[in-house]
Amino acid sequence: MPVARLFSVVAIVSALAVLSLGSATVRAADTYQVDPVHSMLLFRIKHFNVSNLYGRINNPTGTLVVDEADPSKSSVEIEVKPENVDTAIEKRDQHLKGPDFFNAKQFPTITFKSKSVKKADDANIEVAGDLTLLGVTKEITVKFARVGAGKDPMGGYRTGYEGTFSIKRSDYGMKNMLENVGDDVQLTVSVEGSRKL
Amino acid sequence: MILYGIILPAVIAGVAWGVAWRVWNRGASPIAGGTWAGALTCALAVSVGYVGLWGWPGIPPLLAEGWLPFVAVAALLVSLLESFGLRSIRSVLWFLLMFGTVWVLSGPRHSAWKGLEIVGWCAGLSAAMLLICASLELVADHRPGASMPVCLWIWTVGIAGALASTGSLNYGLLAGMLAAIMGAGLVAAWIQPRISFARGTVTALTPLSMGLLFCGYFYSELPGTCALILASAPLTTWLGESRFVTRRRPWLGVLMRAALIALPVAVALVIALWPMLVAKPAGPENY
Repeated sequence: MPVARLFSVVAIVSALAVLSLGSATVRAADTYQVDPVHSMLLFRIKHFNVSNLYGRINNPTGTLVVDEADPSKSSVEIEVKPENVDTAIEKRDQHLKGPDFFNAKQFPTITFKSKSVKKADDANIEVAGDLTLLGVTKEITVKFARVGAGKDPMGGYRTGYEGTFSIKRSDYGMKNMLENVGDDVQLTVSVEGSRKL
Repeated sequence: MILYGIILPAVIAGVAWGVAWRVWNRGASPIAGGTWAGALTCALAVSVGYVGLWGWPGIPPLLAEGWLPFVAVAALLVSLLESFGLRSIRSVLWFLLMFGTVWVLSGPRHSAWKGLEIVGWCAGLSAAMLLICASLELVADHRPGASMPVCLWIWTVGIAGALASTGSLNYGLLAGMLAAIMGAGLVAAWIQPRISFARGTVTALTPLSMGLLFCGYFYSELPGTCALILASAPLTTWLGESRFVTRRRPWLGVLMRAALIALPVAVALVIALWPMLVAKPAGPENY
């Protein structure tokens, strides 16, 4: 009897081990919540065609689904509120939030939703998706580089990505002061996502 | 910007009023015959100015203010219906025009307003617009000449100044178009004092001006008191009908009526400009 019981225990433990190994190899994609405090959208625009002005939109929110084994199963959804625009000058921020630029009261959010994700090279993934700004949606492609990943001191797990792309603001109906403030806007998305272990 | 926002609307308005006057002057009753011309002037000038500045607004327009050219065209239709036999239901047509204007302009607010709140805001604001429209109409109807266009010009200039100085060049330019139209109307009335600004002009100008104040308050930084004073400023035209004013010489009467509306407009402008004039603005001017 003891031998038979021992065999049973061994069989159960082995089965559990196989199951757990199996689940590790076919592990589902990880879902990260964008950490607004450590993420931002940075923009760069020409002023009078002589210099670059930088600003940012703080506190983005969203979700990153990361499948390292199969990047095509990954997805990105990021939302920023133009109300959080920050160029270090309050008066300019007020003007940017108003109807002449971001029109924050009529269009409270700017969103990006991925439609496809693929591996670009060892260090980058290429994300194609819809960018909606001022109610106009256009498809764009952004190359994201993984900045890093690892455990945080609070017992969670974090991952970070950064991507840069350019748009023409006039394509989205933001046509004011094009002679003074450039049409081409370079945007850098820097996101940190966190999940519970 | 100045070309499409000011010069072109003024030229279009001047030409439209000139042509319309020749047409309606052929009728038996010059005043009653062609009052739609004012609405035609507004519809043409606002549509051309808007498209010239920002392009075709789309159907439906993406921006709330993109509805304004359509509001101008709707006002023209109402004026035509009035002119060609539907005067008996004028109040209903006006209310529908005002309600429709508030409804489309408040589109982005509908998700924030719950249930009856939307109807309440739209009905309340359209009733207020109807009051202003009816009040301007009554005064304009029996006072052709320079008085009415002077008052309407001061009003629209004030709205343009307040909107431009409280966060939106776009709204300021749109109101500037209305001021340019009324500037041309003033010249037209100077040349031909029998031109009436009742019905057509008032029917179009009221929803456009009040609509811009609505946009300024809800989508920009126009202070509520400023919007309220500017919205009710046309009521001062009634004071211009008092015996104290009417018994003066015509030119003095025009000046007094202008001063009466200029007073609240000036107060509203001071309120709008206060942060720039007195309070120290945060950050440099040349941002």
